Order: sequence, then C-alpha cells, then structure tokens
Amino acid sequence: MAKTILIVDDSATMIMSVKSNLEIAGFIVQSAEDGVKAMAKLKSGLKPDLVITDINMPNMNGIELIQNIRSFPGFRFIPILILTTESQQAKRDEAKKLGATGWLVKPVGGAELIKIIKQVLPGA
Amino acid sequence: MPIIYQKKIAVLQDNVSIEEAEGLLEWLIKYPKNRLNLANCNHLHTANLQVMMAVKPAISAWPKNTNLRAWLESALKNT
Amino acid sequence: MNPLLEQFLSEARELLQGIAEKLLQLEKDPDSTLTMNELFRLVHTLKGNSGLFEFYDMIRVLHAGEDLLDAVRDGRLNFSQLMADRLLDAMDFVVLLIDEIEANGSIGINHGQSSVQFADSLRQLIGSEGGESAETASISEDNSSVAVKPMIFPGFDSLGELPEELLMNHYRHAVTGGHLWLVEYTPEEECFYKGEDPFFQIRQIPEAFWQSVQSREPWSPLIELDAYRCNLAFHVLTTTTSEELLELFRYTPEQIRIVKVPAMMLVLPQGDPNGGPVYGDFVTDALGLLQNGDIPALQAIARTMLELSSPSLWVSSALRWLLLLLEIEPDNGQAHRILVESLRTLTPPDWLTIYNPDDPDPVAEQKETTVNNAFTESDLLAFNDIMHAQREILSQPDSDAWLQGRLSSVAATLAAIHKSVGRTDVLPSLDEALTLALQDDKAAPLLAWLDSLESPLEKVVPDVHEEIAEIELPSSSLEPVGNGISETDTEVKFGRRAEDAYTGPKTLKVDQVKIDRLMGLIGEMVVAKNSLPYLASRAENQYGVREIAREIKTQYAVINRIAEEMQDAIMQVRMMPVSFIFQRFPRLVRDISRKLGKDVTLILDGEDTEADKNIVEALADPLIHIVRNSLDHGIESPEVRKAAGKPKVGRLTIRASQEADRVYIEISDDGKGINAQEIKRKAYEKGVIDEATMERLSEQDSLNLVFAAGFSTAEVISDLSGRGVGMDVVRSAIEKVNGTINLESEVGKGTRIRLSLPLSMAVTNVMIVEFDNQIFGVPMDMVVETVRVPNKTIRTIKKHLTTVLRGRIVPLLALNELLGMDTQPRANEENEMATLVVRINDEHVGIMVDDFRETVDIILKPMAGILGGLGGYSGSALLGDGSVLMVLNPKELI
Repeated sequence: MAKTILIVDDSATMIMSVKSNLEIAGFIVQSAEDGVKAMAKLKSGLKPDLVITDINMPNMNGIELIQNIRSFPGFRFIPILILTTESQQAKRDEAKKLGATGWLVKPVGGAELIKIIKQVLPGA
Repeated sequence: MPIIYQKKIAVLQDNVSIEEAEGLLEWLIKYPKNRLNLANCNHLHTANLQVMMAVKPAISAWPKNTNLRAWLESALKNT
Repeated sequence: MNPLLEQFLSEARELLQGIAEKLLQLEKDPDSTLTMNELFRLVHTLKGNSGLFEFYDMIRVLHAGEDLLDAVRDGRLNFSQLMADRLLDAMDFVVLLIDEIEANGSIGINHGQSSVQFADSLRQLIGSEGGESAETASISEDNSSVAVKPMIFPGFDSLGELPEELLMNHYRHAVTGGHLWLVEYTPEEECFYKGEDPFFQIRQIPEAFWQSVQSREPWSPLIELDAYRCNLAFHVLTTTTSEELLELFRYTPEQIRIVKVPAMMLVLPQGDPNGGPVYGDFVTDALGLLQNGDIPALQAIARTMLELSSPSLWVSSALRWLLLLLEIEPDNGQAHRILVESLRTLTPPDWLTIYNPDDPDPVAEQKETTVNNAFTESDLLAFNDIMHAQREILSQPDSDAWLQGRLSSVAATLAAIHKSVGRTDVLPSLDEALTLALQDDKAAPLLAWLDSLESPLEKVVPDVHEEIAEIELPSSSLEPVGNGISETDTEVKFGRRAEDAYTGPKTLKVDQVKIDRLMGLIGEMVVAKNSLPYLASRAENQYGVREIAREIKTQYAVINRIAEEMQDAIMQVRMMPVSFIFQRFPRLVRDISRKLGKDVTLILDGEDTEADKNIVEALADPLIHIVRNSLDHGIESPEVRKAAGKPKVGRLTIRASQEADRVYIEISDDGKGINAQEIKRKAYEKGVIDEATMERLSEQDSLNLVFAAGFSTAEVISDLSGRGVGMDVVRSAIEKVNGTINLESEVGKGTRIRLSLPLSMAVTNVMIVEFDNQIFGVPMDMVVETVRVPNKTIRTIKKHLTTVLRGRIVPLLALNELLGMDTQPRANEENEMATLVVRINDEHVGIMVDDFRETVDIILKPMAGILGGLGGYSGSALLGDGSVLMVLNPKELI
C-alpha cells in the first residue's frame, strides 16, 4: 500500500524537487507551504504516514508545527523529518527534543531521501 | 494493518502500527488465555513488542518472516 | 529546460524581488524584527534552493548573506547602511547568475572570483565570528561510547545456541580481518513520541546473526503498564561495517553503543555435556604438546579423540573448535590452552581470563592518540576516499581548458585533508609540486607528490583490522566507535571553487538575435555570390571577354565553397538536440498514465539527434499531443491489456534519428491500435466524407482521416486530449515547418506515427517556374515530378481537367486559376502542357504552367505586413540578379 507523505516548505522549488523524487519512488505526496496550511490539511482529514517539514517558514515555522502535530489527536507517533541546512545544528537538536524523528540536510539527493524514509517508515 | 480480534485469537498481519498497542494490551489483560496468530506479520511496532514481552501470551502461529520470528522467539522466551 | 530548474528560476526571481524590498524597508525601519526575520527567511530559502543545483558561486554568496543576517537577527550586529549596500550588490550578482542560468542552463565558470569577493565583503561585516568556523568545531565531541566487556550484557549466553557452523563461519570471518560488532541500543523512554520505532531500526541492521531484546526495568503490573513508554534494550551481533551502523542510527547516536567484539567470543562449544571417552589423559598430553609448540601432533591426537566421540557431544564440539583454532590461529597458544582446559572441566572456555585489564597494554596507549585525534575507522576511509578521488582527477588527460583550475583545486583539497589530520609537515612539498605542475601545465608533479606519501594516515591511526586479529588484546580491544564522522570533506568541497576563476570560458552565451543577424547576412551573401555567374555570362556574351568570364567563374567557385561552409557553420550554431523536448516526457507520461490508471513504460531513443532550433521548438506541442493521444486512446488499462494477453505494462517509444537532411521522430505504442473501419464510419457520420468516398477509401486512407479537420476519435472527450483539438492541428503544425506526418496502425497491436522534418528550415530548395512572363518558386519537397502533358490526353471529368499519369488519374489545375489571373498557360510547339506534379496530402495534383526553369537554394523570408495575410505564398526570396522570387504554397492554393 502506497504511503502518503506530507511535505511542508515555503519554497515551491524545494517542494517540487522533493515531491518528484518521492513520487518516482511510489509515494503519494501532499504539500503545504507553511505550518498553518499543514495543520489545516491534517484537520481536514489528511492522514499522512510521514511529515517532512522545513524549519524557516512564515506564519507557523517547522518547530511550532512539530509541537502542534504531536499534540493533535492521532498524530502522537507519526514520524516527522525536518529539512535543514548544514549550519542549523542547533535547530536540529531543538527539533529532535521537541519530537522530530530525524532530519534531512538540504539539498537532499533523491537516493538519500528515499533511503532515510525507508529507514524511519516501516513498510515503505 | 489493524489487528483482527477473533474469539480466541488475535490476528496480527503485515505491519502492526503503534496505535494498536494499547488495544492489544487491554485485550490480553481481559482474555489472558487467548492467543496470537502472527503468521502473516512482517513487522510490529516496538510498543506492540513490549506489550507481548510483558504479557507473554501464547502464540498460535509464529511469523513466516524468519527474521521477525527469530526476534520474537528470543524476546518471548527469556525473562 | 527542465521543469524543476524553471520553477527554481521563477521562484528565485520572486525571492530576490522580496529580498530587495525587505532591504529597502529595513533601511527605513532598521529595528523591525519582523522584516528582519522575513528577510532572513527569503535568503535562507534561496540558498537552500540553489543547493539543489550545486550552483556553488551562488550558494557561497547567499550563505555569507545568510550568516550575516543571522548575526543581525541574534543581535550580535546592527543593521547598517553599509550592510544594505553590500547585500544589494551581492543580490545583484545573484540576479546576474540567475540570468545566466536562464540563458544557458548553468553558471559560467568565470564567476568564482566575484563570488568569493561578494561573500568576503559580507563576511567582513560579521567580523571575527565567521559562520563556518562554528561548523567545523564539533568533530570530536560525540565520542561518548564506552568500551565494555561483551559478557556483561544480558542474554549473551544464547549466542551459544546458534548453529556451530554459523559461529565458526563468523569466527573465521572475524579473525581474517572482517568486522564483528556488538550493537547495544537503548532507546529513550519517550522515543515513540518522536515517531521512532526502535524495533524497526534494529531490525534493519544488515548482516546481523544474533539478536536479543530485554526489558530494562522489570515490567510493571499489567494494569499499570504504559505501552507507550519504551522499556526495551536491544543487542545485535553483526559483521557489517561501522559506517553502515552509524548511518542507520544517525538520529540517535547517543542511544547506541557499538563495540568491537573479539572473534574468540564466538568460540562456544555446544552439545550434550554427558558421556564420551575419558579426557584426562588427552588434556595432559595436549598441554604438553602445546608447551613444546608441537601443533601437528596436537592436531593428530585431537582428530583421533574426535573420531572416538559421538559428534553430538559437547566435547566433540570443543574439539572441532580446537582444530579450527589450530588451523587459523596456530600461534595463539593462550587460546588453545584455555580451550584444552575447558575440556578438562567440561565447562565453557573462560575467554575473560585472556582479557585482563590490568596488563600493561601497548596497543591501548596507541589508541589514546587515536581518540585524541578524534579518528575513527570511518575517518580513515573518508580520508582514503578523498585521496583516491584526487588521484583519479589528476589521472585525467592534461589537455583541457580547466587543467589549471583542476590542479589548484586538487592541491587545495590535499592541503585541507592533510591539515585536518595534523600532517602540516607535508604541506611545503605539496606547494612546490603545485607550482611545478602549474608551470608545466601537467598533473605529473602532483601525482609524484601523492606517490611519495607513504599512506600518511597509517602513521597516526593504527590499522583497525590488525587489532581484531590479535587475540592477546586486553579488554580495551573492544573498541568503541563513536559517530565522529569528519566534516572536513564538506568544508573542502566548499573552498575548492574559489580557485577556478582564472580558467577561460569554453562556451559563450550569445543572444539569438545575433545569430539571426548572421543568418540574414549569410543569406545576402548567397544571393550576392549568385550574381557572379550572371556577371560572367554578361562579360562573355555582352562584352566578349572570355578570359575575364572564366576568371570570374573560378572566383565564383571559391566564394561559393566558402559561402556554403559558412552557411553550414551558422546552421550548426542553431542546431540543438531533441533532448530539449524529450526530457519533459518521462514526467509527462508518468503523470498522465497515473491519472488514467495505466501502467506505461516510456522508452526514449536518439535524444542526441540535432535539428535547427526552430524545428525542435516547433516539435514540442505536436509531440505532446501525440503522446497524450497514445496514452489516452492508444494504450489500454492494465485489466484490458491482461485480458488481451498483453503484458500489463504498456510501452510507448519515442525515437529520433537523422537520415540525410531529414530528422525522423517516431512515436509508437503497443496499444489497441486504430480501427480503420470505425474511423471511416465516424468520418462519414461527421460529414467529413461522403458515402461514395467511404466506399472506396483504402485502409491507409481511412486511417489518414484522423488528420482531417474537425475529426476526433475519442468516444468521450477526456480532460487530457481531445479538447476539440485533434490530429489536424498536429498535422498543420508539422507541415508549417515543412514536415510530414505518417500514421500506421494495426488493431490490437499498436500505432506508429512517424514525423519527418527538415534538419533546418533556413535554406529551401525551390523549383522556378515561368508563367505569364513572371517567375514563381515552388518548394522542391512538394514536387513529385515535372511532365509535359500532351493536350490530347487531357480529359474533362465532372468539369475538372484530368489526365492519366502512370496509370493514375491526376487532376490538373492551371496556375492562373489558382492565382486568379486571366492568361491561360501556353502549350509548347508539340502542343504539350508543362505540368508540375505536386504532392498534397498524399494526393498528386498537376499544376500547369508555361515552362520550367532551374532549381535554386534560397533563404525563404516569410511574408510580412499586409502581404503576410496572403495564404497562397509561403514567402519570398532574393535572387542572384537582384529580382524577387515569390514562392508559392500549393497546399493553401489548392
């Protein structure tokens, strides 16, 4: 059964890149351009198996999004990967502490992306 | 896949998600004599594993997946 | 351009626009945190996006900008006018790079220096607290794992339950230089709330051959048990590499311990402990032989004992192990002795006695140094990888334009990695080698320098594999491996491009307008040159100077050759590969077939085939339409295919090739094909053909009806193709660039569409015909033949003039009818009509004119202005004598 992945990033380019890599690998991909829109999607019944989110976003950033997702019924245990850059070690640690499962360092290569997802998502 | 609870046997199939763990625990507490059928199970989330380790239910069928079977045998045998 | 790059460019422009706006806002209101945060985010996003394409010159500047803004955001710096100026300048530079990418698809190689300057100008403002130093600082911090004795974790005894053969294999593997790791994984209690599944993680360890899971704390009463608080600890033995393990547990390195296990720990005799011969004498003899070092004799008596014992006994197993140890580690007397002793006591060998931590241990000290330098096996591998890569780069041929830059970057890399391992002593000789290499334009001096190194790292780091082989190691041989994967390589990558700046550009960005101008000029040149033969004939006929006439002709031949070559060269510049349009198809086919619920494999072939830019661009839309048609109406759904006995996955092939001066594009599918009868019926229903035509139409002609205007084969108008736009549009688009389209189909087997296009549309070969004292051109690719038709063979059928040519009825039209002129075409002395037979939609039509003239190559100029509305002409051209030739478009005329 194909897994659904929600990707949250304010950059349409980044979404396009990650999305096409994921779709090639057979995932169903949904996207949102910030935390608020992502939460709206979850509230309207979207049930992804994994969330990938950027950190720096307008309206609701990635860290806030993680906290919101974790306290939203039905999403306590969902794997969440954050998209970070090389220099955001502190953000990574903070996100991990607040409930991120892991991180992807931009730019994410297709093979690396799929490999990591398969490592955190059983049955992917 | 959600666990299918039959009369005396719970059937665990494919990937058993973490959301199942609480239900499995309650069911096993309620019916301590009941058994688990794992034949078509490929993976179960850690939470389910530890529920099984704590309760040590009888197994009616071990997983066909040999790696999972090796893990479960060693997990359920030792104290 | 690929869609991702397009998206990147358009988003980059938006971001840059936003950055400029925010900077200007900040100048007015420097204290606005909101604007500052927004600005930071924009720069950060743009940097992230450019990382997708490895646009290093852009990333470098944006990274510096990001660091600078980060410092402002954190309050370490104040926003200033100077800062705004520099950021705006730097962003202008980025805009320049974006323009270049838009034009060429990549950044030219001559921006390295400017990029570094802009980045530096921004970093200067940050002052001493530069951003990159922070990144490299964390290399050695995570080495927190501690060595343990392998016995102290629970469940290890179950290792003895593994089949003896398996244990022996792993033992052999470990002694002969393989890895043997114990992974201990203690997930944190809260880990489920971070989306983790530790059991899934640990199950992914490759080459695991023993596993155990225990509760950490005793289980609480079931009624109080919290299923979502992780109370487990996992152990696994594996022969995989430590890199693999560290990568797998990259997000939870603090929760795992990876311990190197001595091979000896696998030596665990097993079996029935009761029975067998008396071993007392054997043990005494064996110990004596061990004392004397007489291995062969020991092997002999061990074999004898083994033959006397039932194989299932514990003692037999111990003897088999002893024989294996004697064979593989003949020098390991201590291990042999322990194994023999265990035969006396009939208890498992106590390998712990070998590992006495109080013993002085030379290797352990050596390892101290290792740990201080924060070196792990993975570092060693990374180091060697980098060295190897540099050697490969140097081994490339010395000839290309980038050599200098390449040499410098290799040297920079080598210097950086040697610095990172503390080998600064080799740097001066490296500098010398580089200077030499740059002088001679050769890689050899650097290669020689590499050869002169005797594997520099081995001096710092003891070879890990050898440690494993040494059984006499004390407990510290259970070496921990932290996750100190070095970050130096990324740093090196970053620094490298800076030196690329002085290599000259190999490709030029040229505005298309300039090429078009060249094209126009060469057109005039061809015309001008064509006037020379006229001049020659005038010299000869009018002035009677044959000498000069001949010389002019000779000169003409020379100029003609040069002009032709020049024309060819300019055409080449305009050529581009069809991959330009092919590259969008994988995505398109994937998206459409998914939408339609069909399985389709796309095969692309001949993407390198080149054609004139205009042709390639003109191909894009028709091709997309054809592909959509194929997916929509051609290839069946998987169920239908299966039922028809076809493979579930459909095949769509797009193949480009070049033959002579034409490019062929073939689009074929293995779908359901087109039913000619059905087409015919539908065409009739829609009034495209009448009943009589329907009767006599051949199979192929029926198929061609799909190209007829107003025809669409789709039963239901789908949202993909058939929005009222049919194959007729495709056909006219192809014909506009002088192409032809041809369709073949077999019901149940598939459909093949073949497009034939000119390589270039710039030069047209036309035949000149004479009519009413005027001349007209007709494109040669439409001309089938020229014949002189005797007037007596011309018949009138249904008011139309016709004649029979090669058994075929050909309708005849007089040019004056077509052009609306009064004068009739003249017959020649033999009362024959000069007739130009042209092919229009696979039908032959004769056009009667006064006479034929020569064929010429012309540069066809489309009609402009008011004349552009005249459909009957495809354009005009200048002839060598300065006159204008009107070129007819018979298709429109008839």
